[in-house]
Amino acid sequence: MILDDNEVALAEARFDRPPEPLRRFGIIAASARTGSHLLCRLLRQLGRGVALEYFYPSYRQVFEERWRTSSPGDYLSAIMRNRTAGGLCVVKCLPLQYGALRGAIEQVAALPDPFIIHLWRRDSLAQAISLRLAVQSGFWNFTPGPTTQPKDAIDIMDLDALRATRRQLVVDELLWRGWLRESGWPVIHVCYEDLIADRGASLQRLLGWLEPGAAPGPLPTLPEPPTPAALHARQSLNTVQRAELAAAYRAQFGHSDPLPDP
Amino acid sequence: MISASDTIVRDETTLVSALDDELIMIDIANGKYLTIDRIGAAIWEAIAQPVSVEALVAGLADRYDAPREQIGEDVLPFLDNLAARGFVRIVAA
Repeated sequence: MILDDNEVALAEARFDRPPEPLRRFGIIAASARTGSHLLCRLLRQLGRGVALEYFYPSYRQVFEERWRTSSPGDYLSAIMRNRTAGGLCVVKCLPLQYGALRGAIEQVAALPDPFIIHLWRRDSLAQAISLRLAVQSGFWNFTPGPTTQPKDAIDIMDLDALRATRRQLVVDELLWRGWLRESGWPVIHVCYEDLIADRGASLQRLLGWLEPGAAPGPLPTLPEPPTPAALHARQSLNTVQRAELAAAYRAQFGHSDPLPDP
Repeated sequence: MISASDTIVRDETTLVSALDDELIMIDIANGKYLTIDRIGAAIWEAIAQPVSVEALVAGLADRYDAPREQIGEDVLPFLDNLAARGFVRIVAA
């Protein structure tokens, strides 16, 4: 069971795995702040793949140097060779990385039984607030220190900037929906709010879809992930203040309905 | 160039989402998006079913209590823009 929460550390060689037969290759298609870190962590803990953002440029550079890959397709093959667990290889992908991932996929002769887990979030306003706080603080998850350079100059209360962030997140989600339609791969949609509200039910549903022939059974007891409040404590707004910011946004711009189900 | 007798048909595969009082429309082919304001959103709603340009302009003129000529001057370039991006088809009469 991989317990390490630090995605930077997960790029290290100690998390490479001995080769094993690959039954399925999959993508976690996510936008920022949709719970992908949590889902990757849960899948790793369940021994299903070593899900990570393999096409994030700085991680990719580390892997490519270590695995001495020579092309995008070669890199994807190396991921499958070194990062398969429980018969699954899972690549988390954000919209900006999708072009590179598709390019690599096109260079690989065959991917076994491919699938896509689409993570999305109904409340794009809360998502946008979360993203701006993560960028400002450098804390994206519950790590000992920031994992990106903090940007203190960001004015979290700037409602126009918040709206621009929200617009980009909605665009990202629409792009995913279009790309998923074009991919022709089987897709399961997992909603952030459902994952947070009932982690066990979301995982049972997901595992039942990933492994339809497997006998259903209770999930193993997994370590509790850090609570949202624990992360909020490392950022500039707590839960109540986030709600106040959302209310100020709605007062200025109104608030459209949540994103419709895909 | 669109004429009054042409029919406007929405592309049903277009991905659209509301954002406050705007609509966001995505062109998947190039990853670009178009944001349209509340008037544009009203036009998008009005062409949910295929409709002639003439009937569309008349309906909007009634709705906004404005001269048809003025509505036409605003609507036709907007429809041209949508057509250029593949969000609607213009079917000649």
